[in-house]
Amino acid sequence: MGQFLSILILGVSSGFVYFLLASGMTLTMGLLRVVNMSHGAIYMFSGYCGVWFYQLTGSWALAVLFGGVVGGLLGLILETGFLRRLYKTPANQVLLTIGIINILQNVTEWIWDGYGAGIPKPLFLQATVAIGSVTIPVYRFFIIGFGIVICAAIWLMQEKTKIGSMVRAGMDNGEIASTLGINNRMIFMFVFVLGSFVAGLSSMVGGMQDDIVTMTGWNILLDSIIVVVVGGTGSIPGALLGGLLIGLVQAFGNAYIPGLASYLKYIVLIVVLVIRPEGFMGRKLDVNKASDDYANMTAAKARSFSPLMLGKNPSAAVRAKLRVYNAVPYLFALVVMVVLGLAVNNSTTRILCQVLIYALFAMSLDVVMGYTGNRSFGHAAYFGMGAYTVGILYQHFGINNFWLVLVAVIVVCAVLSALIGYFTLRLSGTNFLLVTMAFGQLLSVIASNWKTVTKGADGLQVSNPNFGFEMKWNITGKYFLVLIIVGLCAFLLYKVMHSSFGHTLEGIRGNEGRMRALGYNTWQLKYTGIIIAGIFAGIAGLLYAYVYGIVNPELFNIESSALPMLMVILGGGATLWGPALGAAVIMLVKNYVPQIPHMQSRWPLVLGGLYVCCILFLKGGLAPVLTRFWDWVGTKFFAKELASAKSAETELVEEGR
Amino acid sequence: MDNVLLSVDKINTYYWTSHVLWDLSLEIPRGKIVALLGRNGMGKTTLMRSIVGLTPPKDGTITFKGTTISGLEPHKISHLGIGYVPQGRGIFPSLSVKENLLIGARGQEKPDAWTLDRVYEFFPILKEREGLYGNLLSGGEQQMLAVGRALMTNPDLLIMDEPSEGLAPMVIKQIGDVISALKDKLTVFLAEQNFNMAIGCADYVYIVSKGSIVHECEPQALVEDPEIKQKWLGV
Repeated sequence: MGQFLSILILGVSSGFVYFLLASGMTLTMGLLRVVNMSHGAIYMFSGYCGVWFYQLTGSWALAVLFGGVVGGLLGLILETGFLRRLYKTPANQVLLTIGIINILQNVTEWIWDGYGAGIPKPLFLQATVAIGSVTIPVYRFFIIGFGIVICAAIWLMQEKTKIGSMVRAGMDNGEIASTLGINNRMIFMFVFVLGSFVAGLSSMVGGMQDDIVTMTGWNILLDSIIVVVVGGTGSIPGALLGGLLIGLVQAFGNAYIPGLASYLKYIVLIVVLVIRPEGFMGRKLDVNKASDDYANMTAAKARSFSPLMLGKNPSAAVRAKLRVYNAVPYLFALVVMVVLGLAVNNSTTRILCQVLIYALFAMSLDVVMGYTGNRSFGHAAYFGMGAYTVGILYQHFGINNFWLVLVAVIVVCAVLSALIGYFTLRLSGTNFLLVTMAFGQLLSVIASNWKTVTKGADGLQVSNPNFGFEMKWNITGKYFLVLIIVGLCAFLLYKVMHSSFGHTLEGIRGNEGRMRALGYNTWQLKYTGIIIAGIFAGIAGLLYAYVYGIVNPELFNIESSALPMLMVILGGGATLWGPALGAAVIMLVKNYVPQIPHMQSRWPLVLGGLYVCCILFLKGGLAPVLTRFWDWVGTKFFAKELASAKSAETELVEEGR
Repeated sequence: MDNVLLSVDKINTYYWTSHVLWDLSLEIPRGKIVALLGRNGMGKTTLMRSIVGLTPPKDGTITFKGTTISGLEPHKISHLGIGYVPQGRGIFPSLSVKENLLIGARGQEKPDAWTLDRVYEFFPILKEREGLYGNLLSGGEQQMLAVGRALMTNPDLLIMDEPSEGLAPMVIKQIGDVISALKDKLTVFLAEQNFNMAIGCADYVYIVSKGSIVHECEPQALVEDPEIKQKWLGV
C-alpha cells in the first residue's frame, strides 16, 4: 500500500513535469500549426541559465523566474526572427527548429563543458514526508503544486480572458479572426512567447526530478510530443490528461513490469492515435490546409528551359543532344565518385562511403516525403532494421552470403514498412510525423532492451560480405561495392519515380482529394510508396552494416531519423538527386568540421547554422538553385534549337489567324 | 463623388496562377444596399475576399473612405471600418455565442454604436443562446450570429457573402428582413445567388461574370428585363 502511494505520487509529479513542457507545445501546435522541435532545447538551455543565476545570486525563486525570462526571450527571438516567415511551410519549420536544437545544445556544451546542469533543491524542498511505511520527498509535492498553479493559470487565460478567446478563435479559423480586426501575428507571438516562458519557468522545477543535461533537449522533445498528441493538440486539459497518463504509465510500468516499461509510452501513443487520431481532447484540425510546401516546389518547377520548349517533334539529332544534356550531371557525379574512390586515402574513403549510404537513405525518404508529401520522422526504423537483419543473420545463424542477406533485408523491410504503413497512413501532416517517430523509437527501445537477440547497447558485430568466392576486403573494395549498389538503387528509384506511379504520387501531394476523384486509389499508392521507401532504406542499412562492421541501437534513435529528413529538406525534395546532395553536404560537414582546429566538437553548431541559413536564404533547398543553373546551361546549349522552335510556333499562330 | 464609400478600380486577383478577377471595377455609394449577383464560380467570393484583404489583388486599387486599402492586412482593413460576414458563416465553434460577439467588439463609445445589448435587441434569439458554443446553433442562428459579430466591430460597410446559402426559405426571408432593417444604419454590400432575396432588399445591383462586372442597374430594371436575367444569371 505504501509502495503504491509512493509510485502514485512519483507518477503524478512526473505527469506534471510532462504537462508543463507540453502545455506550451500544445498551444503552438494548435494555434500556429508549428511543431516546435526546439521546445525541449529551450527548456534545457533555460535550466542551465537558471542554475548559473542561482549560483550568482543564491536566490532560488529568482533563478526560477530567470529561467522563465530566458525561455521567453528565446521564444521571442525564434518567433520574430525566424518562425514568423515560415508559418505556411511545415518542412522548413522542422529544419529550422532542429537547427536551433543543434545550436542550443552545442552552445550549452561549449559553455558548461558538457556537464549536467545540477539543478539545486532549496532547503525547504530537501525534506521528506513519511506516509505510512514510505517516505516521499517534499519536492515531488512542490512539483505537483507548481503544475496545478500553472495549469490553472493557463486554463483561465485561455477560457476566461479576451486574449484567450482570440487564441481559440485563431485555432478555429485564423482568417475569419483577422477580418474581425484581430492581429494574428501578435496573437501568435504572444502564444509562442508564453509557451517558451512556461518551458523556461519549469526548467528549474522539473529539473529537480530528472536533472537537466545537454541531451535533455532531444529526450524531453519526444516525451512532450507524445503528451501533446495523446492529449490532443491545442487543449490544455488534454495536455494535463496526457501528461498524467504518461507519467503514471511510466511510474507503474517501471515498478511492476520493468521489462516492458520503456515500451509503454510509445504503445500508448500508437494505440491512442490509431483509435482516436485527434487525441483525447483534441479538435479535428484541418490538416489538409494547403501548405506552401507544394507551392514552393511547383514554383521551383517554373523552368527557363524544358525539353517541351524544343517543339512537338524534335528531330533525332535534337533528341540525341537532349539525351546528352540530361545524362551529363549523372555521369559527372559518377565519374567524380569513381575518381575519388581510386584517388583518396582510406579515412576519406570511409567518409565517402558514409556519403553514399546516407544519399541512398535520403533518396528513399524522398519517395515518402518529397514526392508524396508525408513527412516521416521514423525512417531510421527501416535503415536500422536493414542493418540489424545483417547483424542477426551473421551472429545467430552464421549467414553471410551477400545475396541471401540482401533478399532477407528486402523481405524484412518490406514487411516492416507494410506494417508501420498500415497504422500510420490513416494519419497525415503532423500526426503522421509523430507516429512514424513513435514507431522508430519503439524499435530503438527494442534494440536496446532485447539483449538476447540484439546484445543491447554493445551492438552486433558483422563480418565482411561473402559473394561465394574468396576475396580480400579493404575499404576501397567496400567503397566500390557501395557505389555499385547505391548507383543501381538510384537508377531504379529514378525509373520508378519518373514512371506514371511517381507522377501520381506527386499528384497526391498536390491534392489528394482530386486524385481520388479521378479514380486513383490513393491509399494504395501511398502504401506502395512507403514500402518502396522502406526497402531502399533497408538496403542503405545493409550497406552501413557491412562497411562499419557493427550495428548498434543508435541507428534507430531520433537523430538518425532526423538526418535523412534534414537531407531531403536541405537538398530539395521530389528530385532524388537533391536529397543525395543534401546527404553529401551534411555528412561532409559532420566529418570535416571536427578536423578544423578548435572545432573538434563544434560540428552540430555549424550544421545548425547551416540549417538556419538554408531556411533564410534558400527556401526550397539546394535543388532549385542547381536546376536554375542547369536550365541556364540548357538555354545556351540549345540556343539554336530554341530559336527555331519559337519561330515555328509563331508561324503556327500567325497561320491560325 | 463624395458619397462613394468604397470604390474598386480595375483589380486583378489570382489564386496562385489562376486569374480570377479581371480588371474588375465597381463603386458602393454610402448608405445604400448594393447587391452583387452572378452564377457560381464567377468571382463573387473572390471579390469579397479581395476587399477584406484575405486574397489581396495583384494590381488595381481598392479605396475605402478615401484610403487605399488594397494590400493592407485584413485586421487593418477591419479597423478602418469594414465588417465581413463570410460565406459559410465562419462561426468559431470553440467560442460561446457571447464570446463570438465580443471578440471583435470595438467603437462602443459612439452614442448609436452597436453594443452587446443592442445586438441582443436586434437578434433576441442570440440572447437566449448566449452561453452555447457556436457550433450548436442552427444555420439561421449562426447567420444572425455572424451578422451580429460583424456589427459589433461597428463598421461603416458590411460585406456579406451569400448569407442565404444553405438556409430554408423561411429563414432566408428572415435574413432578408434583417438586411433591410440595417438599411438606414450602414452601407451593405451583399453577394447573393438568391435572386429574389437580393432584389427584395437591394438599392442597386451589379452582375459579375467570369471575373468582371458585365451589367449594373436598379433592381427593378433587372426584374423587368428577362433577357439580362437569362443571359447572366440563368434565372
